[in-house]
Amino acid sequence: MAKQIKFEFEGNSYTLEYNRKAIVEMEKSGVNLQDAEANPISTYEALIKYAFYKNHRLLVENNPDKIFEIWAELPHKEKLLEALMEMLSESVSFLASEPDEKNAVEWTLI
Amino acid sequence: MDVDLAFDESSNGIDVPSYTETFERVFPFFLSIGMTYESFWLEDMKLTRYYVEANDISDNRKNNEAWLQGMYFYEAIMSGFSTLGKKKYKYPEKPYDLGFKDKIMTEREKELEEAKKAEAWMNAFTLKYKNVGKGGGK
Repeated sequence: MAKQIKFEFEGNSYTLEYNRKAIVEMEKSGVNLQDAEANPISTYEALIKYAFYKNHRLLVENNPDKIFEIWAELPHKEKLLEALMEMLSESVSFLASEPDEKNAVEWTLI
Repeated sequence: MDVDLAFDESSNGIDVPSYTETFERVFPFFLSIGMTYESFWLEDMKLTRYYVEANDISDNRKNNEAWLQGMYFYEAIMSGFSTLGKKKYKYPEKPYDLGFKDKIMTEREKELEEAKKAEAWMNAFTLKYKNVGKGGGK
């Protein structure tokens, strides 16, 4: 199952998750995900907004301000954004399956 | 002479397709292996990986079946021609038994398994021998 972020806000349960339709809609709105560094603010805003698309679509379409109101109350935003980026990358994870453990190449993040 | 390199500076000159383009490019493949529109676009994104793995398993099974079919043809041809020669070759009276691990394992895999068993036995034996030494020759 793909990664999700779950939380409660004002008595409602929220599950943040992307599907491919959400990513297409995000790109249609003018965000270039391949060039996030050029417009980091608008990219992050889109990442947050469209993370609600799969499970809370009406909120995205009718009341996007509410999304940023919720976002303002969420702690550890840097980690949340990292998690959203990771969730986004799952959309292209079909390009390769995980190698067998014995064949896997060791790598280090520097 | 003017040369228009048309490089996109932001992506170091490499024309990186958007996510949408990538999805649209691979979507027909996923339809061809049984995924629905809803599964691909709306449901859990990890499903695609499982479809690819399931497709690999299915391809392997088809390959094995084709190989098995070839073996039966081979047996049939051999038994047909054996009537012409001195050596008799009989077509199997019943299908091959596919249920046992031994039939599937290659010789190399068997060797490796035997080597592992031998190593485990040696380790156990050495450990036992050491323990006996510590226990005062019991």
